[in-house]
Amino acid sequence: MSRSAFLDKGILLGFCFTVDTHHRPCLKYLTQEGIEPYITEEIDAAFERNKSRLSTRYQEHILNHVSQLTKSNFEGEVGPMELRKIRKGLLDPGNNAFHFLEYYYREIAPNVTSVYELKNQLRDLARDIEQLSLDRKEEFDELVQEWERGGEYPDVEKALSEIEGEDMWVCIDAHDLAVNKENETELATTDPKDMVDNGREDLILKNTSISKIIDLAIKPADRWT
Amino acid sequence: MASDDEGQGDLHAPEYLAYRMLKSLNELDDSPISRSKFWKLCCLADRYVQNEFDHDIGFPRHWYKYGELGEAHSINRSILNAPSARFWQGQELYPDREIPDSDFDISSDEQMFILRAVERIVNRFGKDSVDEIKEHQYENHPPNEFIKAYSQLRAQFEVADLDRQALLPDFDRGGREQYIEDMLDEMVVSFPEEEYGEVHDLYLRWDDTMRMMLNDDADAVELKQFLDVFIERLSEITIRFRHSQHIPKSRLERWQEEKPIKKEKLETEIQQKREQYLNRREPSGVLNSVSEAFDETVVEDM
Repeated sequence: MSRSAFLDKGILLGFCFTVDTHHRPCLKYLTQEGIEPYITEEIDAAFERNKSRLSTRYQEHILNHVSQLTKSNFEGEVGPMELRKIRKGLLDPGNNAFHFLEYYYREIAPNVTSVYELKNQLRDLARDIEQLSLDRKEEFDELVQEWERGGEYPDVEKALSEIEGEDMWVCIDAHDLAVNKENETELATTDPKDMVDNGREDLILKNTSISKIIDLAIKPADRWT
Repeated sequence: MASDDEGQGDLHAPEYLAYRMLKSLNELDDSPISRSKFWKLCCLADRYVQNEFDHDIGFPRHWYKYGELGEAHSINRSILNAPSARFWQGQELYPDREIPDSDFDISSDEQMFILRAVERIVNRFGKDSVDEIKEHQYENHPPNEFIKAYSQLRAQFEVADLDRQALLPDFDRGGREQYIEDMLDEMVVSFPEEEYGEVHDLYLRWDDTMRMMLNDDADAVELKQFLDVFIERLSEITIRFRHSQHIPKSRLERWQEEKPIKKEKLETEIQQKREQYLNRREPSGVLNSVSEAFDETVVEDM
């Protein structure tokens, strides 16, 4: 028997913006047999908003770093000493991309031989990041269907009033889907804090037609393994 | 200021300069005069008055794209007759009528400065093409090195048919891609980050897109078009504000209102071009090599 799944926005983010960690469980969930995933109609706007906030921002930081490199005196061949100087002088710890750029300089950059190659790799990194989110969104769109809420549920709204803002409306949308589908409907989330923990799961299941909450958040123990 | 924003009002020194310039060009030969050439020569004449006679006649001008222009909406245009051009798209200009000097509200000193400047500029540049005048402007009066650098890149695209390898002397070393990359690097080095701060991020995305196009062997026509898109928007968002003089407040306010629209347009234009090239690109693998650290950052920011 197939079942419907309403996805909260975190599934989109995990699927489209991480290379592996969140992407993997989200992909596994969305492609399992018998599941019909649904998503809010505002999904494109949510994607664009988060693309600006995540991948475009990282890209800007990387390109800015490359431009600082072009303006600097570093040119020609690079060795460990030059790379150390670049890391120290041109990487800004306040920059959002700092953590993975640091990793890049530590683990990958030692294999490059010139500043020219270094800059090209960094540009490639910026382009890969943008390309990843665009490709993944295309893939995501093929896996999910949009659901437009038809009904109004003042009693459910009232019962869920302790859940703040957007998360409450995700529950209402999922409830609307459940009311209109003959099969069981579950709500998939990457946000256990607001949807599962501290009695939230019971509150939602008790007051809506949602049959189950699926927690796809990466637990600390699962991370980076 | 001589006129209101609709180009009406009394006749003052800026109108006298424009009128005299047009008359002199008209008397020089029978060739039709383009708006672009006319306004550029007016700027050169105004600069001559400022430099030679240390006098400011209040002529409204601003840098736009690849050269400096007189601000047509900020002077009384009743002196101009501007029918549709016969040999190009746009208009050609003629003096509207004979206007006696006494109709202009200017001092005899100003009159003399302007007549000398116009004579000098028409003698020197009157028979030059717009491109030659443009080149003179960005070689001699660029507001900054960045404008000079992008104007030189544009000139290279115009002069050399890069795809057929009809090369300029400098072009040979290292091939087409390396040559253009070097010119893009010159732009990066000279970009005035503080002054043009509001377009810095967009500029870096545009620059990276140009390089992506180059890697993908985009032809010279497409590269030139994408350069033109950026420079036109940059002019509308920043350059015409930063490098201008005597532009009336009402005109500046109108430009200011247009600014967010122009910025959004530029964002869209860059994004469309990036996606066009990203769509046919194979991922390089660099992101995969840092994926753990990258994902940690994304999860943190999510």
